[in-house]
Amino acid sequence: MLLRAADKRGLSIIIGYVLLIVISIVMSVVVYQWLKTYVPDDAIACPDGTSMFIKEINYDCTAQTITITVKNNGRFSLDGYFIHASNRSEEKLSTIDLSPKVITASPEDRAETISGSEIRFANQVNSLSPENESNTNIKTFDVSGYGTIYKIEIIPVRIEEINNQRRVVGCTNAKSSESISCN
Amino acid sequence: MNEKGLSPIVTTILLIALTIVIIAIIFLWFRGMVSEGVTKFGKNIQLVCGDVVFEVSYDSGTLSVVNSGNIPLYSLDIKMAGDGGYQTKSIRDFNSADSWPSSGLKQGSAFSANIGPEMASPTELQIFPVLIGTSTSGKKTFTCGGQYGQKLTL
Repeated sequence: MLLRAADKRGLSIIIGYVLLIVISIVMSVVVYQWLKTYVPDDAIACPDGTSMFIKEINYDCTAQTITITVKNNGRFSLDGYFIHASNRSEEKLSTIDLSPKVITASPEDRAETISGSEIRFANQVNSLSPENESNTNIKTFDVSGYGTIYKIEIIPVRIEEINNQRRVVGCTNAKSSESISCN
Repeated sequence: MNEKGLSPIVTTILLIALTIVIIAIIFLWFRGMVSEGVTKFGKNIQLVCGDVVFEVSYDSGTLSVVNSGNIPLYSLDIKMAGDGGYQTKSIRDFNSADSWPSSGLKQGSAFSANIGPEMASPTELQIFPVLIGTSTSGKKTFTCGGQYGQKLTL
């Protein structure tokens, strides 16, 4: 007796296709989402050519103040800088954060000058442009209570737009330091 | 025409609905099998370890750390090697390091503490950055081991 095709049991072809396609789509979506996080991205950094140097430091040991003049000698505008000091001559790293010690004319000026640990040049983003005639900035810091300061380290800062968000980016490659002594 | 069967329109609708339901079920099941990824700034936290830049020094019992990069350091794991073995301790577990910021050492920030008295005269220190990232089950820490640490020979 011939076996009729209608007597064969099995999954309908259409349902088989549906299941295959569904499983493929789902697996590809899950693997994509997981693998997407492994795609390397550019490191968050300042553009090459960002540079700032300490033009002048005036350390008044009597008044216990340090006046620092910085100059933007790079190709890109800067927003401010991180500043640290060292009060031990043999210390390799400067760990005293001087940003809270900046001297400002008013509380409003102070609120515009300090942002976290950053000393901002102005209330505008990346305000210190290398093309301006006055591409320098002067700030005075009160260093009373720290003893003798031996070294100052400065890391310039830019505001960069990353993934549609403004982010503070420290220009580590443009870090500068100066050993200082009393005037 | 006495053949019984479903209308083609009904069949199409049922197939589409069945497909969507099966997609949802298999997706939820398969997602549970794939290992959970911890991300930071939209990328896998292991990749972020390569962007961490920090300087560390140890002098006369004082550990100094400067976060000179752009990745906040949630914590540090300090591996102390001495005679006969080693011990790893988080910076947050040192009593003298209570000035370590609770939210971590932000970019441009510095930290210093005299942790020497709490260590058993190590001959070498290895400092590993610890980052905090996001996963499906909330915030999670991740220690950047291996080449991302800094070694200090005392």
